[in-house]
Amino acid sequence: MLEKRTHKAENLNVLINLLRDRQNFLEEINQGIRLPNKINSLLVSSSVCFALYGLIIGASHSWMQSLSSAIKFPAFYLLTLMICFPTLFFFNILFGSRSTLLQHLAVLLTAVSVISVLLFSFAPVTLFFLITTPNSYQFFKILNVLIFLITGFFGVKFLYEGMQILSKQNENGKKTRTFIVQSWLILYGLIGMQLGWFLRPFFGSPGSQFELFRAIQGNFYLDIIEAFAEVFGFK
Amino acid sequence: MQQKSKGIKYFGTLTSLLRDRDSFLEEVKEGVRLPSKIISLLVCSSLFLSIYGAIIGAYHSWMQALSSAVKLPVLYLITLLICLPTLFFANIIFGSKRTFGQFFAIVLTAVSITSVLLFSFASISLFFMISTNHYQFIILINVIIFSITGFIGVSFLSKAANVVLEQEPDKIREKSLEDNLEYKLEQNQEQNREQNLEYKLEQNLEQNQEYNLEQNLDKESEILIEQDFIKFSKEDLQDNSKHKLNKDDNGSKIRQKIVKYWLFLYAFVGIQLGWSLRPFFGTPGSPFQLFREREGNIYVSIIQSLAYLLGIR
Repeated sequence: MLEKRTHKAENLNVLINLLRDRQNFLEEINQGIRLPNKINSLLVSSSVCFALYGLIIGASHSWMQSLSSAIKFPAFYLLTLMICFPTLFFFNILFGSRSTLLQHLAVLLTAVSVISVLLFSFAPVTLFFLITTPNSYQFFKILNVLIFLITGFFGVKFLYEGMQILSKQNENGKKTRTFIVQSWLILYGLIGMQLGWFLRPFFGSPGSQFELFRAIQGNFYLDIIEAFAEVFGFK
Repeated sequence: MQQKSKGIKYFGTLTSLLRDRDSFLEEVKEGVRLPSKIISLLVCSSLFLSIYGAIIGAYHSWMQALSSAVKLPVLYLITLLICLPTLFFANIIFGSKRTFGQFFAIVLTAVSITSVLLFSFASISLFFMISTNHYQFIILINVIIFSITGFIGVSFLSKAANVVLEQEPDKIREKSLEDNLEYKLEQNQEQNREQNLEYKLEQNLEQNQEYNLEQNLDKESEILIEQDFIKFSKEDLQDNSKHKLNKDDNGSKIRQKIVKYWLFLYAFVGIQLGWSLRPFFGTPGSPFQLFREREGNIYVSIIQSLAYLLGIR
């Protein structure tokens, strides 16, 4: 029991460390100091934050939806990462990166953890809108899309920074590698959207029955446009 | 008796905030007695806000006055609590070293300022309520009062954020960098000395005195080169530390921007909360209601009424 607790405290510590002094944290990754430990803690803490946020957005429908979202949401972010990770790693290696697999994984995980913490910090706002406006499903959806956009933007920014530090030592092919990271981000986005669409529903449209997965149909962009159309009253 | 002295203490914190803001903020920055500060600010601001709430509710009925006296502090403080984590984490991510308590304190100071100003307008508001019968006029005057006090509170918040969130270019880190630099220099010099000694020894052992002159010349040039090297490494280290300091400067600019953007979030949430907590004034002639039936989301309502006005729907 006690051991477990200290373990938790350690995980939290790594996260706070990452947030407070990113420069040093990334430098430590670059030097390969206690990498497995770091990766574990980042994985655990980011899953917890994602799960909490998933719990909240699922609660707009029912408790079952809320549970399923709490599992789906971390799975969504982390699975996408795992799916896209080998591409980035091997391409980077191909163009002269000297960093190890674990180092790459750690940098990617830092970006995801930053996203998870920011989402966690928006959680009270989301919860508030969930409580006060129970009937405006589409508004809730758009609000969440906005929040995901903001948090994702910061995550991407930190991914860049981390990759810059990883490839600091060998200037050889640095430009290409930056380009690789950029293209990889697009890949990540595409995969993420598809996976997200596949894992639906996260929110659960009100009045519908609980379903673990929805029959595959439609398209992410169309749905967002429809949501806007409904809020603006074109429909 | 004790309670009275407690009340005086709470009030004392507030007056010290109002009188001598700079030293108050300085204390917050150093984390001096934060919990007691936070509690007294909370108590004072809720007291003042509830007094103002009671006054604006009194226009309708005493029940409305009571409910407004509860609702108005709730509106300001709950919004604060909802939005605070976002501010805290966003700042931490950009390298802030302040604690959650410090963030809470500076945001609370802004709310307290607003509440004190509202309190100071209370008599004016009360006067108009007694002397006129015009509901719309009273609403208008209250909107003006709320916006004036809110504006001053916000401008104070940005000032407080400047003072408290400003991190003087990390004294500790700078010092450690300097220490590092000196240490490295010393090491370099020691190494050089040792090398020189060994070199000399070898030279002495191996070579004749005839050679010595030439060797000395060589050595001298070598020492010169090494000194150059030391100089360069020193410059390098200094460059590095400067770079880091610049980076921190950059972070503080971003942090100030975050506070500004956070205000939008605060307003965004506050407007919705105000909408859900209605009525504050209570339309004259209508029966008392604790809450109006939920009209859902204010933003959706606004967009829909705009659409209605423009004839889209």
